[in-house]
Amino acid sequence: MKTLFLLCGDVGCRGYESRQVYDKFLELKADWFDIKFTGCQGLCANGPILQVKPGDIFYQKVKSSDVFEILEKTQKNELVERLLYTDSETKKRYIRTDQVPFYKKQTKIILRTNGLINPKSIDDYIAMGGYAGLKKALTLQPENIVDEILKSGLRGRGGGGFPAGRKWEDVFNAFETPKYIICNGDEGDPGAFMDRSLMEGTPHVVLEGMTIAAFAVGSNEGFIYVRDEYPIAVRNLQKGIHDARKKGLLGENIFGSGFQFDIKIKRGAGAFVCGESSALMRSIEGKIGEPHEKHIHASEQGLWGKPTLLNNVETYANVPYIILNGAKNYKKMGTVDSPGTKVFSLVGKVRNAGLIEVEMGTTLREIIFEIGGGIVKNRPFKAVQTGGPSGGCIPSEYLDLPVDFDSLKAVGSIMGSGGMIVMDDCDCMVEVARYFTKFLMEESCGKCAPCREGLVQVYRILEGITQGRGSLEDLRKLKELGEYIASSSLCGLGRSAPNPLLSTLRYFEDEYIDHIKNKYCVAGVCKVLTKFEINIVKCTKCGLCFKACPVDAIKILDDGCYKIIEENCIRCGECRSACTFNAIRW
Amino acid sequence: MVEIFINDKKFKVAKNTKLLDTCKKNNIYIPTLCYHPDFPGFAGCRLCVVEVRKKNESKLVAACEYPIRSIERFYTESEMVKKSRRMTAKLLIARAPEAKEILEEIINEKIEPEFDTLNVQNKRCVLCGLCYRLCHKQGTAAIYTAGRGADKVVQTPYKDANEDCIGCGSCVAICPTGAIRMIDSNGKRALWYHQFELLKCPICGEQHITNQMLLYEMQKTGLSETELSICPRCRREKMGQEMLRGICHEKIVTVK
Ligand SMILES: Cc1cc2nc3c(=O)[nH]c(=O)nc-3n(C[C@H](O)[C@H](O)[C@H](O)COP(=O)(O)O)c2cc1C
Ligand code: SF4
Ligand code: SF4
Ligand code: FES
Repeated sequence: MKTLFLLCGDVGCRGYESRQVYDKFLELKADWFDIKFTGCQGLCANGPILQVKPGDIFYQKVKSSDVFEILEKTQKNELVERLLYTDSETKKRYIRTDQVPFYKKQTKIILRTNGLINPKSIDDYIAMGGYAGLKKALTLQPENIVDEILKSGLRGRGGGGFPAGRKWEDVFNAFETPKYIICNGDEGDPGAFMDRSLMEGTPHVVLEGMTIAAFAVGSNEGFIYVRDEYPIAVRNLQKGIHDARKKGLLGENIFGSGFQFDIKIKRGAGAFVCGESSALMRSIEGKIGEPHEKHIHASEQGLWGKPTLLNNVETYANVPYIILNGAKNYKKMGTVDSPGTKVFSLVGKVRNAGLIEVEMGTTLREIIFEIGGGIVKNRPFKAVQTGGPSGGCIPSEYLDLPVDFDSLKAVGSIMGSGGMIVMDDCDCMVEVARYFTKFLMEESCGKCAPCREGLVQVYRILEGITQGRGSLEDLRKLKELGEYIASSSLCGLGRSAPNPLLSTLRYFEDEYIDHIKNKYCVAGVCKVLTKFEINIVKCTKCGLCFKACPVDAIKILDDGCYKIIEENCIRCGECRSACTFNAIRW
Repeated sequence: MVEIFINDKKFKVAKNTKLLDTCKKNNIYIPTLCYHPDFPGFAGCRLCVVEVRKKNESKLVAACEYPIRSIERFYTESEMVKKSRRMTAKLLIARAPEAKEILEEIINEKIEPEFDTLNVQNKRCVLCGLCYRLCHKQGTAAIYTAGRGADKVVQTPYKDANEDCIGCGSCVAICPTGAIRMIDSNGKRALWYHQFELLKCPICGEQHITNQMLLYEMQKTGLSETELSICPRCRREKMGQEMLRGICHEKIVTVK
């Protein structure tokens, strides 16, 4: 059997020059091995990632200069030890992918083939069992498919967690024709890359899911709305559509069944709010992407006033699995009310940042400390923000919370599309609220008064507090504004926008009060309220801080100690990040 | 028909009637700002919010766009409603301090300013969107909104004279706060960076219509130039009835 090298070619790893590694492999091409440039393999922080099959050997941080050695040793059945995953605490080395703690707790359904196939090859996807779901679906009655999705309890992965089966049923029952299928791939959350990785890494699973949906609800025309900043996703999807058509898996007479369905790609309009369903449909229609009141569901009157099924990328990606394995087996994963798995992008102050897929109901602790490997530099965990910019911050007392749609909502956050930002004691919660409010304020479409006017006032007050101009009266105002915006806004953006504010007020009110009363930022982030000092007990006189300071505010004293000159310090915190001994105090 | 309760009083209405229409018909006052029966579907100002009370939770809905579909209990003057409405008004006067009196009249109470005034040029515009919606509806589409969020403004493209503007002043007429400046003097009309020539009514001599309006209406209605250049008053007198439909010619007001 030929040896197969699977090199990650997705965003994260490409940032670490995996392209050069790939080119090197091509340069040294030999008959005994194959090399595949795959979609995201998950552990982006340690990229480029390389897996070797057979043996499932896992290499990380591979450079093009390593390729020769890897080939040589693989041929001799040896390992390149230094490229193996090494636990930073125990110094234990792991060889196989499934032993690496990052992968051990994961359950890959959606991302099953991501990272194992060449995204541009339909044959690769089919070889991994792709399109078997569609083939099976076409032998079933449409109502049975709808029923299976209903029974599976699948909930929309785009944020709201609305039962997918209910939408499918409504569109199935709608009288009017034509009916449309839309896949929401707008993914406007900054820093999120779940849907992107899927569209780039396994475009066919999205196409397959959509085609099954189309057959089930009786639609012949589908759209994928892809965020404008995702050219590779567009390219891979386009290639996928082209190949599927050629193979008779899309277009007229799919699998010889007489069923006809085709998919067009629409590029997003570049605004966060265009991911909102009513704005998205306007945008596809060529109108301004502003939200509208949605008392009449899209399943009745959606795109061009016709019955429309709108689901998220990941929602569709669940469908082939459910059809193949049955609702009963699907429900074995996850929790009772949120079955299945969820893909998260785990980022922030966590060691193993990357793309993960876990069963619903996995606890935050398992995600952050087992899969994520804990907090960078062993600092204390402070909070995790879930759900993208309009998600809430969850404090450490909820680390054992099993993550699903309802549990997150209960603690003042949301599932959103699956962003997870881990924060440590160097993150100021007032600043976090200010930062996300700013993003949302700038992304508000400005149509309705609460969101347009409310957020800008919230922002001004928060900015005041971070700059030492806050008053206790501000806290009352903030709470009132937050509740008002959430209850009175027109669309989901405004209705969820106060989450960062309200959740930090709820769990970290002390920090707000510290800023206001004591003019002190406990995280050392708010410049006016911070003072950095070197703790001479912990200082090893290594001089890292000295080199890191961008304004030369650190001086060497006669005895070799370092000192921060307060007048020159701009409080950027670079010295603190540079110091490996936690010797910078604030 | 659906049975509903508004402020604990029972009403029977046809399914899918908008809540605001029902309230209007029954003389229940709901403040509105962005609503206009000719172009529904906006629901932006949120002054018309009404509480929908369920067993253990309440939510606010915009009455102007809320279709009545099942038995529900609505409250138009509850604490929740008043709080939201007051906040909206306070926030709007932080943008448009000169619209204070008008807003007070609409919500029927005094507004206590609570927030810092925003640094925007137009101190009257509350971004209800009526002007540009009308302009688009009548087919001229000369003004749009530019910018997002709090930076949103009603403008002509590139803040410059727009050839599509015919100087009809419909936007001025419909604006609830008098935020659009239009000056008629010496046979000229200044509006949206344009100077329009005003043509005289051949009967009474009143300068009432711009050349561009004349051309636009000729095209749209098929009426002759002589017919259209007669001012509405004279025309009414002359014909004893209004002949012109299509454009909101009648709504023109003059700001001194
Ligand atoms: C401001 C805003 C942004 C949104 N952005 C996205 C997005 O980027 N992708 C997405 O799938 N859903 C997004 N949604 C949710 C969609 O409105 C919609 O609920 C979802 O696409 C439905 O699919 P689902 O039921 O499969 O989740 C957004 C919602 C709001 C209010
Ligand atoms: S809530 Fe915000 S984004 Fe949504 S319609 Fe209102 S202004 Fe626009
Ligand atoms: S100018 Fe007047 S009509 Fe136009 S948006 Fe502003 S307030 Fe509304
Ligand atoms: S009148 Fe209903 S939202 Fe403005």
